Amino acid sequence: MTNALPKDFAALEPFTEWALPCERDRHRKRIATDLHTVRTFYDAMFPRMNAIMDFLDKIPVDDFDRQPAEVKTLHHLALAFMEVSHPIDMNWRTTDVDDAFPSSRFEFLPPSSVR
Amino acid sequence: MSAVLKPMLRGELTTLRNQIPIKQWLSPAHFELEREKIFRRSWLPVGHTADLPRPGGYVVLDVPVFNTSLLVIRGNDGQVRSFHNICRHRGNKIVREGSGCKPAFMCGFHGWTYTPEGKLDVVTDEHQFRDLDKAKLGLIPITTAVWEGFIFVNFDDRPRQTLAEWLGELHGQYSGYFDTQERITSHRVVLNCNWNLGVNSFTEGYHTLFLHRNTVPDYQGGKTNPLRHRPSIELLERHYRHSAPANPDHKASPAEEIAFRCGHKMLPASVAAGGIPLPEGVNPSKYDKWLFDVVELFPNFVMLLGHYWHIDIWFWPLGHDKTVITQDFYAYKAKTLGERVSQEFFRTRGREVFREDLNTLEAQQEMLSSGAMDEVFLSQQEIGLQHHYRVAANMLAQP
Repeated sequence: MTNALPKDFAALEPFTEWALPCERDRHRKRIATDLHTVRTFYDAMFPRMNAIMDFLDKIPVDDFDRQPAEVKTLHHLALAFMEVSHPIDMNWRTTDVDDAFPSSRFEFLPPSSVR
Repeated sequence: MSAVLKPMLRGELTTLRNQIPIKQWLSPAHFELEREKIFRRSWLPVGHTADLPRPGGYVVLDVPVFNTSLLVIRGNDGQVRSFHNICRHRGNKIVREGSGCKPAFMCGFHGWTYTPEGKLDVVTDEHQFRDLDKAKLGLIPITTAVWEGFIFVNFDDRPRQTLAEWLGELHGQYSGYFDTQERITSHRVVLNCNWNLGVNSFTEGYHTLFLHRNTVPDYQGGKTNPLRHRPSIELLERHYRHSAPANPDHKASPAEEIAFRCGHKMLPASVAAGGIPLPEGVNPSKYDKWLFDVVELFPNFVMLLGHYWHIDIWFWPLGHDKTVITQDFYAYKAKTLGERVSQEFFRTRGREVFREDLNTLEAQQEMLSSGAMDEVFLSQQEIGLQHHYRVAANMLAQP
């Protein structure tokens, strides 16, 4: 884990606390964070996401383990963008969806607890 | 344009009931009948062969309805077998949990060791046992068969049908479909609700108009089918299948636009044209605005089948009013990290949709078990539920 990012994306380094390794952790961080903070992260990522997707789309899945730490961090940051997109894009009142089963009662099994 | 949907509707309709005496289905005594006459006599999917790709590959699968745990192993001959996960010596659970690959299966209590085919191979200090016949003390098998990578078991002493007979016309219709996908998500929850209510929540599309308004408000129906009637509904001998209609005017959210720059479109988007060929069982009516299929494999398994993705939902009763539900998402095998991010959109939005589906179940159980109401009323769009209770009632009526 590093807070550094590939140099084209270094401006996003203040947000690397979101670069968590698995679905469970990214989801829990989202619902534990207030909407304003989530929106700040979303707004910082949004204009860079197409470039990030193009960057990551050149890297084979099987090469993930061999990537430098800053590439892994960028990948996890992009995954976190997808996680936080739902409350913003769907105009929820909070970072969690209304009238949904509490995810605190979810058991996240592999691969959701791994990546 | 006001084209009227002409659905494909197949199956025996005359003996359906649109009022279900739900109260009787929720009692402990009724559940005991279901255990013996439905669960014991059904072929039950329990897992995937992908979890045991090589000889010695194993997975521990709990089957709470029979208070047991299965040890499913691929033998050195390649065959997948299921056993009660119990040592023949003094009954210790041989493998506590999880999956993996081992050349032999040793009980941690006294070291009795079994082969991947379930034969007792090694007994520690064997000569201290009198009259021990190792050939008779292999692991206790459960009838097992594999279909399209799904491992099915049958707890009947003498199964009444083969798995092929049990699946009926579905058996030959999914060739190769599941092989192209891999598991990307798995969630498990324990709910205080009857297992039938759980299955019922996923086998009608009527609720999508309302329940999913915050997560996928416009993915189905659209201008020509605003009430989202199913384009095809099939009541099979035991099982059930319908297709969900895509909204051709679905508006992608900003993150969705970004996500599907890479890889293939997935829910809530539809693959409008092209894509990998699908077997005959997927989108069986070949509806042009198809989104996905819902298949109930009676009694307790539901699949949602899309283009490039599918979802398995397992409902295991822990009792008459408690159910463990596991949901596994599968997707095409991502080739790049960009495709992984693309799939992240699908799996995280899909999880939130699933959380909405789950959220009615305990409230329904609480109120239905109050006894205030005897029957539930079902629409034509909930005909799959009518069929579920008809199939169940027929099995319960067997001697």
